[in-house]
Amino acid sequence: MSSRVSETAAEAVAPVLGSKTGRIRRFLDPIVFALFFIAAWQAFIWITGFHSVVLPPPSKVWGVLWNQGDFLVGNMLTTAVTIGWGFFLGGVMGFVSGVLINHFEGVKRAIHPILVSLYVVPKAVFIPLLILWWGVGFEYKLLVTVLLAFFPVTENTITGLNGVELEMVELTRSLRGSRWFGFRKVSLPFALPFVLAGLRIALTESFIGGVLSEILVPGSAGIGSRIVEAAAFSNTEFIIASIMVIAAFGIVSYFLFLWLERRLTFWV
Amino acid sequence: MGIELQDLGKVFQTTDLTVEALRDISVTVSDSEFVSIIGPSGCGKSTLLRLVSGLIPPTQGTVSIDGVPVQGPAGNIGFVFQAPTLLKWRTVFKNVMFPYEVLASQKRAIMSRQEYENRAELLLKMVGIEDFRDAYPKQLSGGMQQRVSICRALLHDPTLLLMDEPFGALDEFTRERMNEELMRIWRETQKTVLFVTHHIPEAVFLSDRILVLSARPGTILGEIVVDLPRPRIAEMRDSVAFLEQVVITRRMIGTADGGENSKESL
Repeated sequence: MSSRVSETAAEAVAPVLGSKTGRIRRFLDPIVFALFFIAAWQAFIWITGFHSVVLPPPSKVWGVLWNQGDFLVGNMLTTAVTIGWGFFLGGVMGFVSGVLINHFEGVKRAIHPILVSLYVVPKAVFIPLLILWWGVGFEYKLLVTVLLAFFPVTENTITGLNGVELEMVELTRSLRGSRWFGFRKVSLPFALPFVLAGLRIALTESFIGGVLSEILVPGSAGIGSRIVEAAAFSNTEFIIASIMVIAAFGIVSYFLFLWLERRLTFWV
Repeated sequence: MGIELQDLGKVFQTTDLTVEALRDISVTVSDSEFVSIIGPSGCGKSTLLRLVSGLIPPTQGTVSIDGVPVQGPAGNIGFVFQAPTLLKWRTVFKNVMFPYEVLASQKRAIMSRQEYENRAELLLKMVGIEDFRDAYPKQLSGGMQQRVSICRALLHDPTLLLMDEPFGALDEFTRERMNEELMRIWRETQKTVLFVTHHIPEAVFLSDRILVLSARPGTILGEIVVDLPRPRIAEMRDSVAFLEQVVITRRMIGTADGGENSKESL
């Protein structure tokens, strides 16, 4: 048996990341492909003489990024504030309500059906109501973002806490551990991977909330509004440049979160 | 630690379903005795362990441990389940230390952390996995995980060990090895053990006594005093005396569910 044991142990600790060149390739390949894609796009426009209002060449998009980069990033940072706060508040509220629903049968009976009904309604239908109540300022945008970020965290928290093994709960109880102790030391760590996966979904939802709420109210702060305004002037290269800025922020925050998630739940 | 079960009965009641799990269970287990509970699935074996541990209250009768009626979890019991149920985010050592943390959180730890840590090291050495103290559960095989679970159950030096089909998920070969190991641990620690299983040779190999339960509602059909010398060693499984005990037990179980199992189990 001892040889079998050492095998399983060896397998488990074996590096999963692959070789060093493999890692470089994984990083480099998408860049090479993106460059190739941009070159093909530029060539396509040279050859066909496509009208630049419909599809501007990459060089023009680059021009916007180069000349108005500060302006774009400045607007994006305004949006990022909405996204950040919406993600944070939606995440905290989602987690807390998930915990309450899981732990208190009464709360579950009373609240959960309402949450599920809200969940299945397309969140966009609440937007006119929120504008009516809060105007088109920061509060409204924040609420749209919170609304979108909230649900995936609640649902995942409930799923995670429901999955805790009954035996672990019994073991804690048999030693007369308190419910709070069991929650901190058993349930919470068990549910953590689920909560984090919910938060990861909430992060992308927050980007939708932050940008969408701006797109619907041109003239307000944030990059979403700049996009709608540019569309009115058929400033296609500006729109594409804006999308690229949003994408860059989205990708960086997503991978930062992914990195954090893997570190926090190393045992998964 | 002696256990006394008197006219114990348990009925589970939900809004639209009433299930009588156990009826009229009266048993006395003496100090350091190894008693197995065997019977068809769904006969309430696990319920019996939960009643003894005080995790659930009986609907009838009483459980007393050393003459004191059980009113709820007393904290002096070690539990081993069918699944190792280790905390995946903790190392082997930290898993074994879990009972200390629970006791300390209630200010009921009787020794210092250092003393519990020394004990954890000793227990890991006893089951031969001291080299894996800093490994995580997923790095261990099923048998090794169950060893960790046994160490965890023994850390707080419980007077009573409750084992709920602890080797049910292991392959036959590993199960036999674990049985032999459990016998060694039991000899060294002198615990009173209640051991639930539905594996007849396992029950015979380990026990002083085997209680045979009937199908639901579980009642005690009879008990078998295993008349085999101790210490029990692997070779004993091939002896005529051992096989005779297996046959006797099997016959008694055969009557437990109206003979339904008697054909297939041989």
